[in-house]
Amino acid sequence: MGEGELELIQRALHGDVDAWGEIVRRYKDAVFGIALGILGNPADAEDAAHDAFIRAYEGLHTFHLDKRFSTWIFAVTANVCKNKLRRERLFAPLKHISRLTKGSDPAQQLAQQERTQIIKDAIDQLKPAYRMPLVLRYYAELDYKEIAEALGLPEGTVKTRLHRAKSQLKHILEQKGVTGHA
Amino acid sequence: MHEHELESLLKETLTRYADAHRDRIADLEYEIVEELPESRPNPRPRWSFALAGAAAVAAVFAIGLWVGLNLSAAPCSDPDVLCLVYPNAKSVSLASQFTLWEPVPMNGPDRSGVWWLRLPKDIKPGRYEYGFIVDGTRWVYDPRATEFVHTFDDKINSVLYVAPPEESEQP
Repeated sequence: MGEGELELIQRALHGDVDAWGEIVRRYKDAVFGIALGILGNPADAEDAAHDAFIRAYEGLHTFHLDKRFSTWIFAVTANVCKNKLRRERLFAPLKHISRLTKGSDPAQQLAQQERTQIIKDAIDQLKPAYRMPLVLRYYAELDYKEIAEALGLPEGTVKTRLHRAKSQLKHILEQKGVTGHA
Repeated sequence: MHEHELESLLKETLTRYADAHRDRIADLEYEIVEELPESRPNPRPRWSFALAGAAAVAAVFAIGLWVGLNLSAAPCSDPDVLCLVYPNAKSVSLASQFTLWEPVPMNGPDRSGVWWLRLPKDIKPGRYEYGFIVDGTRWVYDPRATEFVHTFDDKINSVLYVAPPEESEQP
């Protein structure tokens, strides 16, 4: 747990919303990144991040103070995203290409943008059941055990889903001619 | 494509994609804080219920039907009671200068996960440092304290002021 984090959580448990604001400031990038990875749409990810922090605050008493807070907040985020996917049936891949990077060389920038978009589209093509552990593993950098806790799955299932997710991704990317070298 | 190349592509893509849209959450903490006063965490209303419950139990006590501390709510509104919310702890003790740093087990938890301990009646007026020991190992300071000190071993102690009998407020 980060420096002062336990104290912030304790204060939030006592209803100190400013303490919770500090927690949000510390975790918003990670939570947003996870939501974006799972949902694939920035507007939905913004809503999900917002909902995750509100829901986490309301359910803060269920957090075990001796566990890692990051794993818990990521689990809340994954659940918010799962419910959002279920509710809105957002299984379609992204249709638009966003501006992703800023660089000095326009040609290189465009190539990198296109490559990022192809990979992002490939991730979006995966079933949510595969996409969620993938995002938690490679964006949030959780280990298998933490992903299992976050998603409420056995560790073996997480390993299997990650393996299948990567196999499918590899297949999709190879079909699109994406290699491992930029 | 090798597995490590795929993993590195994944990480790079997810990070870059999130970075590109990060401005959407620039003010998220402020939005959340503005929204939260209307959306208290569950322990708050339960705490209110707990205080109401404490009053009810006190009335019951007055007519001789006290049924035991652990069934009542923690009397945290009492200035002579120290409280800590720690729902998942198996045990919480208080250690302080007035206990000569010997851990004293706290009562609880109540149904809201609150542990509490009443200050000894014979405590002398003065300034006391203290903290809580959760599950026998974790040192936790009192977030409700108004003053804190860093110890030489990089822990944080809370500070409690006990006023002489004629005074009622802490400095």
